[in-house]
Amino acid sequence: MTEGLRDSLRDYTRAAGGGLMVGLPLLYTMEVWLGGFILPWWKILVLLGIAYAIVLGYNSIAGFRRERSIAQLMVDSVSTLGLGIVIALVALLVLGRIDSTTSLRDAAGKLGLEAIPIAFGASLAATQLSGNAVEHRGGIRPLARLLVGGGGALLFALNVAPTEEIVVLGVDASPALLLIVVATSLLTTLALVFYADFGGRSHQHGDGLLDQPWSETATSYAVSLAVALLLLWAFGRTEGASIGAIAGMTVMLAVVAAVGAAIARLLVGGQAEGGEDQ
Amino acid sequence: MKRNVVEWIVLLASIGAIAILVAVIVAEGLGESRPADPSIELHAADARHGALGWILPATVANAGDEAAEAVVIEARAMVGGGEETSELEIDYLPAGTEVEVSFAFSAQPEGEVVARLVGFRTP
Repeated sequence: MTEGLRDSLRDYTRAAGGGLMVGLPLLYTMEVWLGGFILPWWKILVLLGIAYAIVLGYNSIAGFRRERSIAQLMVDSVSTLGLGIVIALVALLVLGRIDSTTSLRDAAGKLGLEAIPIAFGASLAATQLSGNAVEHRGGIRPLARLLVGGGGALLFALNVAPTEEIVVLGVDASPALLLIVVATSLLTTLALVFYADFGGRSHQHGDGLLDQPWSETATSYAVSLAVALLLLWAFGRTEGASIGAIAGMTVMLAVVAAVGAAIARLLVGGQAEGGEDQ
Repeated sequence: MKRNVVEWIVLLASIGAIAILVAVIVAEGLGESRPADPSIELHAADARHGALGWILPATVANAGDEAAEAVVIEARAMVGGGEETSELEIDYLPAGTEVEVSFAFSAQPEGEVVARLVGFRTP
């Protein structure tokens, strides 16, 4: 076996491992199986399309291979999504969620939904879990960091978004409690990223408007809210719900999203101009 | 764009997987015209005595193209001179699937057992 072949096999094995790490919780979540046939068919397609765009985003920040053209990036992202579908099929067969009595529509819906987190994990494995991530330790630009934060928000929030608990938390909360939750989310993520001294990130920020601790925390929280709302819509939680209930669920889910975004921003480092926060 | 054999295999398998999945979702989606249509088939031949009475297995199917939630069904029969009703709820009944259930009565019914759909929720 040539070196190139061995490299490719290793990359795909790593991608499959990352896919399982992120995808397993949702493979064991009943609400996702049910979503496979309850969600309208076009929504599953829209979600797959959004997932492809996000995988493209992850892969463009750091992916399987270095120095790629946009065409290569798009092709690699097709492989990532395809890998997600194949792994989801094997996992759902092994778990007995797809068998001879499952209708085609049900099976396709489940596969479409379960493939999404697995594809995220697969592209993440190629970025954060490989040695390639090292080259980003020097820090990335604020907008890219916001994107990375959005990716982290998605990964964390995905695990709880389909559950009934979010509905209970969101509907039960009074407006006063929601305001406290918003303030707590902001303070927690501010402390996590800038004052907890994880990974040499503390207190270090550049001169740009988006490089200040308060501005980065605020923009990142806004992205987390958007991610939370997108996920609630994806799992059909916004349908028929009142504005108040939607706001409650979004704020409660955004707590998890914001912590995910904070951790992702910690992982990719802080300096805007790069290379000096070691 | 230089790729080795493994990469070609993964890429072609991926394109295949995505194409088939999207095609199935679109085809099934566009064919989704009939609303949920639960049906009940009683299996009188398999009925048996249980510790707490008479057990009558049945199959509930959904012949429609859309799923039904919280499907409530009931079976009525004359037992010991009075009418008895056995009610069941099925949480989820996806399109094109079958669910095995069992009705129960306090004793073996006299005459015919009649099953009917009480109602369901549309997702």
